[in-house]
Amino acid sequence: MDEVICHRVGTRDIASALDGLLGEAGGRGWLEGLQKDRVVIKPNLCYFASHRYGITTDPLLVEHLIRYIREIRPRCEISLVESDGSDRRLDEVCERLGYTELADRLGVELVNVSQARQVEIRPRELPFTLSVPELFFQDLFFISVAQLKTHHYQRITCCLKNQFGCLPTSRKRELHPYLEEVIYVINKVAAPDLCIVDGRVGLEGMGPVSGNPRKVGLLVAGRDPLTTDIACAHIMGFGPRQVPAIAYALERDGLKAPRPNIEQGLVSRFRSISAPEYRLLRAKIKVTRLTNRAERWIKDLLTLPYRVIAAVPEGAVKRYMVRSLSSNLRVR
Amino acid sequence: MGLIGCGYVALSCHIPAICHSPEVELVAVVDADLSWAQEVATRFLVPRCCQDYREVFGEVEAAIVALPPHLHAEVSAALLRQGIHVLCEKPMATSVRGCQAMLEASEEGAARLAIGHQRRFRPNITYLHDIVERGWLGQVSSFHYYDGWRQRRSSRTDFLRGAGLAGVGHLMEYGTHVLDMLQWLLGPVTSCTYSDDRGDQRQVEDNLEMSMGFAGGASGLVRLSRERELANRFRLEGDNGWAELAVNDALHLTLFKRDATLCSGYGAVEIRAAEEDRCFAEQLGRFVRYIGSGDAQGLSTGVDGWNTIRIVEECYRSGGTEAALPEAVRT
Repeated sequence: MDEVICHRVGTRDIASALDGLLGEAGGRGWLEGLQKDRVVIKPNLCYFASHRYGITTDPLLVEHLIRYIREIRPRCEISLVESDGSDRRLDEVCERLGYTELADRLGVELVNVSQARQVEIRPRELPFTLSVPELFFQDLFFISVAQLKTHHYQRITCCLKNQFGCLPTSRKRELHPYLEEVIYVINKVAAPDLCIVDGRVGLEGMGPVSGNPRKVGLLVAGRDPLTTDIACAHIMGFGPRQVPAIAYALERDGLKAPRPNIEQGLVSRFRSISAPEYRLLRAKIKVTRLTNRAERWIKDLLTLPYRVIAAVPEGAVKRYMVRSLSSNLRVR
Repeated sequence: MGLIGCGYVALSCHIPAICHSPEVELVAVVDADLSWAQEVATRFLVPRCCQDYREVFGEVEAAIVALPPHLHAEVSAALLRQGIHVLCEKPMATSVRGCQAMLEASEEGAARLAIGHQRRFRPNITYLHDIVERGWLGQVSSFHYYDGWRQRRSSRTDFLRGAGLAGVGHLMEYGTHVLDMLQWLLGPVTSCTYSDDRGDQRQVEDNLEMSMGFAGGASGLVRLSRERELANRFRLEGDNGWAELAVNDALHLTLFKRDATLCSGYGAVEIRAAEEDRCFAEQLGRFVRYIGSGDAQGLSTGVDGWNTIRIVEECYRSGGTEAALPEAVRT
């Protein structure tokens, strides 16, 4: 598995802290992909909430990241991507959090993937199709900028879950019972080339929105979102197998959970919801999935005769219809 | 708009498309069998029906010609000369001479002519065209198009098998769709070796094979049959990826783009290009736009139809040797 950089911010400002982090990343050859013509940055803009509470990505961090990229590649096209949510429109969030002004000032494009061109894919992992942005058919350098947060039924939400915001649908809640699978698929579709997790101020408790801020003072970077999230989980005091999305990805890819070599001083125990509450939420997800499956079985059973008919080659049905139509025409 | 010919394609494809279009009103239906024309008019609430297409002169702005192929040239040319815009079903005509007459009539009557190669408007084909245009596959180097099924006699008139009606067989009747689509995607045809199963027992071909080269640099094989099932796949290969689709599925295509972020993580992706296939409605919409603004984008024009028939005619003439293709006319 890949390396992860955990960078102490200390008393430095974000610009010098980010410079230090990216300097280390560059030294490991992680930024070679910046030679591409297009760079896409995915901040976490999941709600109308200030970055000071660890909920959303700090626009200042994104600004310095853009300036850093521009120093390396002055002419590359940079885009910020996010999507609409069930309870928010991206343009309103961007306006309120200062991203609209930031994009105008730095000449970067703000892409709302909910309104951009999409393609529908049929992943093996899911019982339904998934719309994904066509944008990821391009040859681009993709940077995921996430927050260090707890999640009420995923334990943590860092880099892997940040790509969930790349899904164009605004009805994301409908995907929640299948979150592990969806996160796995979207991370294959929109695989980051660089993951940055802003852990200066994390969020603990009832994340990803309603928790409490917690000062950690770290910036984390990695090339692989899974490895980065394993390190983040460790920093927050969770084992990788305790995080359903990480456990699913490890199992799906046939990987063993690594033991991150993180110095003890960096590990802090994030408060999460209580164990019974967590178990209850997971049970609710299981019930929803079982109900959905039962619904599909019943539907499959009821539609069996139609599916048998549909299994007859389309050409044969069409020919039969044409024949009967033409014989009707003749009989007339 | 007038509808000339009330056979299967008119009833099942063109009338529904017209009904969906807010810009078009069907005011007359024409069929050689007047009682049938009357029944169609009653069934679809069309104010007028007649037996002779000349009766709609001066009454319609545009017409869809959905007659057996051997009548396309004569009827379309007459309508065009009267200044009536024509959307003619494929094949444009059964000879290059017929196509020429239609093009001349279009100029003479200052009327627009489009050919019903509606496959261009299938969602997955439109998307594939977009992909090729944007260079996602890189330089397209090869392709194959295999399309075959067991066809039985089905239309009102027996034009599919009767040499006198269609003038020709499967290449003219169905292959024109494939030729039009390939030229739209890959540019003009530069070389073609053709063979089919015509012989003493068969007046017209049911199976055929074409080895083709295109101006864009792509070359490949087309196999068509109306007698047996084939692989029924269309695949384009470029130096940066490939795209493949099932020829009888209008919605999906599988895409692999080597340099795509998406494909490097996920591999080849099956894409659903649209919710439903509304190719006839799309085609009609473009035809209306073509009439209004002269913008034929995406539509198969008379010149495109002429190019296709020219290749068909050369293929028939070549009889197994390389077809001599004069330089294509593109507008």
